[in-house]
Amino acid sequence: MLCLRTEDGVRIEVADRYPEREVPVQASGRSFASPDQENGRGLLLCAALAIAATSSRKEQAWEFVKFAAGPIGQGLIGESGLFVPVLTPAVGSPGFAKAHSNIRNLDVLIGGPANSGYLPVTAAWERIDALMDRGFGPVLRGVRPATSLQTGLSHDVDEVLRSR
Amino acid sequence: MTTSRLVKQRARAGRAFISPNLAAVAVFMLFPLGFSLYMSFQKWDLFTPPKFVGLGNFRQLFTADPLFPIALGNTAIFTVGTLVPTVVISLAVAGALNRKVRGIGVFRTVVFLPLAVSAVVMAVVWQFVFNTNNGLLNTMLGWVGIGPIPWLTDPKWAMVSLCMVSVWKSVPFATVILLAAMQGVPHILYDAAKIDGASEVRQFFSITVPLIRGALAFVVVMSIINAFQAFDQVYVLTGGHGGPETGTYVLGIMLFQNAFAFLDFGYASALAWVMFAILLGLTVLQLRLARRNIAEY
Repeated sequence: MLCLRTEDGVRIEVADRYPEREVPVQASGRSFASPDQENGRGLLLCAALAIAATSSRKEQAWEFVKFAAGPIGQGLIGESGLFVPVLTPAVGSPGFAKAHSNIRNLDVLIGGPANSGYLPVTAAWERIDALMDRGFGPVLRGVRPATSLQTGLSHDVDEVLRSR
Repeated sequence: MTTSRLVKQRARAGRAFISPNLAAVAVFMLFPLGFSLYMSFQKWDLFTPPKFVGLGNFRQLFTADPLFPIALGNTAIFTVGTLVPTVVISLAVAGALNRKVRGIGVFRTVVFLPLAVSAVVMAVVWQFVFNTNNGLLNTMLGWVGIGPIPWLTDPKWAMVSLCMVSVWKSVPFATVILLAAMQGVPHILYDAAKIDGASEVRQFFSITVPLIRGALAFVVVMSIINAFQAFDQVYVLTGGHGGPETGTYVLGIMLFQNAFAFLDFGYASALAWVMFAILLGLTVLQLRLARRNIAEY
């Protein structure tokens, strides 16, 4: 399940684990939101709402999904403090900031898209995944500073991608 | 004339009888073996046709892969770390079970129970035991005032945990073998030793251990082979990357990762043959040592 951020909403797609490989194929001829939105940062990880095919109240469920994904629902989600809303105005709303007043640096929750780049999606992904796993371990355990990734991990990943 | 015809007939019948087995061996053993040997000289990712690279895979393995020495070292540590405790514990347990005590059948059954548990089930259960924050082991250590130990999240401790699980798993089998061998030791020897005034410990080391040397050698060889081929318990316990970091990156994990994650079947086949060569060497060496010992005896 992918959630793609657009200027005024969120587009939800179903794809396999390689979004960038999958979505453009679907997009041919049809105007789907591009994963390249915001330089590829439009891709969010999110909790998804879905309607069961066997549901006897599909209409009401659809109304609820629209409500939850709309401005009012998103605002409420932000105020609840349980999730980070996906709609940009709701993320920047004072209600969301108030719900997380105990977090000094709110960017930890909402600044991701502005500070992240492409996820490398390649046939060598498993190798990179293994490298990341090895590289992140010591950082997450606090043995090595996160800056060590800049030289160690980045270099190794570059090498794997170059040798392809 | 008639005898030669009979011989021929018998030979034909014999061939007919073994042919189904022979076919199975050919299809499920010889062909995969030959194919993997062939693959070890190729570069193949399943999707494109294989490309001949000669000894390239082996060269890369021995000279250019920084993970191969790590995997080899980890496997060596793991082998020693399971072999020694397994032999010591199973000797002690078999010795304890080799007595005529009331209800010994119950104890024997309990000791052999882990044999019946599948490796994956076992590893999943041990995962709960080893959980750093609310695992059984750390909870119990907490009662006696020992702080939480990162059993599966610290590279060094992860190897210790892995060895513990493997020892727990391999002790029953070794115990069965050793106990069977111990029961084959003639009782007259113990009676004679008792008359000479030997203690039970002395009897154990001077009579039991030398006389079950064959079974002991078998247990050692099997333990080494099992440790070299360890995969399932590692995969379930610490994940398919042999993590944390390279803490449990053993040869079995490296093989699986190269074959089924990186889709480099040629390289994985080369690694498999290197592993086979190492194991063959170790086993031949071990058997030769054991034979020399027996000759001395």
